[in-house]
Amino acid sequence: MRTRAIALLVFGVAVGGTASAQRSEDMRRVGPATYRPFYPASAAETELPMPAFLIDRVAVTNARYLAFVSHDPSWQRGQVSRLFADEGYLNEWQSPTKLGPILNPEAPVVNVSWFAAKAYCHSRGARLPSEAEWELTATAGEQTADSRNEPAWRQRILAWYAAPSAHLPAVGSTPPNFWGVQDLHGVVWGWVLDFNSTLVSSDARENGDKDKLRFCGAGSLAADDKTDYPSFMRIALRSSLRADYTTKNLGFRCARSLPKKPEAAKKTGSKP
Amino acid sequence: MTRRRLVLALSLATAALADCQRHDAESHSAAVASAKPRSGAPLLPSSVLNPAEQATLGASEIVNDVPIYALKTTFLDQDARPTKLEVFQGHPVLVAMFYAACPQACPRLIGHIKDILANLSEPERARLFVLLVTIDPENDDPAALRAVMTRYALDPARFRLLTGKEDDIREVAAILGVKYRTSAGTINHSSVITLVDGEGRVRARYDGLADSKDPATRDVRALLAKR
Repeated sequence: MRTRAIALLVFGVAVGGTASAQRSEDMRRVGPATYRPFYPASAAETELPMPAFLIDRVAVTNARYLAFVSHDPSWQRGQVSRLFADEGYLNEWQSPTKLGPILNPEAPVVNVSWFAAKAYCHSRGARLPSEAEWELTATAGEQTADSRNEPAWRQRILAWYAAPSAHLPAVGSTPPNFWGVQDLHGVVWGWVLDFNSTLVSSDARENGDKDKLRFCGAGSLAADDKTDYPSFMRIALRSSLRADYTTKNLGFRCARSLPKKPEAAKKTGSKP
Repeated sequence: MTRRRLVLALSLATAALADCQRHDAESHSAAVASAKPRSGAPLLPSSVLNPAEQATLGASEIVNDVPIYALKTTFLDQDARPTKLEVFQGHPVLVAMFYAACPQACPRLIGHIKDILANLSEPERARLFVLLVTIDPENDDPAALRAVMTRYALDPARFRLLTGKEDDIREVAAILGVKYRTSAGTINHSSVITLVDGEGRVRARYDGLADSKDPATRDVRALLAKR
């Protein structure tokens, strides 16, 4: 079973099945949990308490995105301002409103910009997940909420990052993780709301040029775990993105905040 | 087959290069990025022709050939008036992002813009406008923006300070190539001043923390002279 799961992740093989059963609100609850960012914003923020949230079980599919642009033509290929999506936007679709015979309707939609992904989620009354939410969800293996220290798990992800993929499989092709969420590794990369938040320079001018965050390669100095290559790669990818960029390996899923409980809002007052 | 690997490798390389360039430009102005827009209106050549000034940022972080006024979101200004980015359409505009509680970078950034204005002649100044968009909408309501107007003695005829929904603010940042991240109560952010023309096309971007205001002043003058 374990071996098979690994194989699925490595080769991204579609096993078909339940993807078509996906409903519009097929989300999973993640957390509450303590998130340990790979690249903490500051030394005081190595452990962040995260409230529970909802996130799509699988990435948004071609079929769902087609329904969206059919309902909102302003997001059809050819209608979108160049400011919001580059020339590659949905360029594998046969036409602005047809997938064509080659694309799998149940495969993740790709070649979508950050603006487009954001608009889709907004149309559902949802939003893109934050980087913290995505990463928290993605640190879960099948058995544990944080599998980052398991070398075998890491290696599986790296193997996928390096593996060729001719066709994207249908969503739901990889095993559910600890939270019941699928395909975070092994199918497509995903947009996050705050993709443009990493590797900024510090505001603290007094630190001047000695501020290590200002320098190329400083990410490695500030990173939490220097052997966590998958996280490095995701951060590098995100920081190279622009909100109008589209690529054939980049899709998205949506998230939603849960209403705050009165108990949760109450502070005990003893926390530092 | 190896396309994924290629995309990733390119991304990594781009990320490394982009960040080297940006951080160098910010910290010791090592080089002027001479990135050119893919098509359409070029950046003002004066910025590129004066590498000694070294205050101009590259263009690869933004879409250059499309008016930013395609973003039709409505924000609120310092007087709580519904305001769109295109409010000063027809005139050159300096656009930057800041936040009211910002301890060091924003005073420099706003000072930089005021210096550019001060360098202009009175008739020139009368045709240049400034949009400052907060990256801290949670705290910066119109009243907070009004306080900033007062604190920095900003001319209400020239300056509009905008706040809005967090989501909408992040779109402005995406369009302007401004990165930001909240950290321990402050917000780390890139200090970019963007010069847009009357149609909202980005003509140049400057390091808002640079010492020299000459490149920006010269570009503004050139743009004003075209009209």
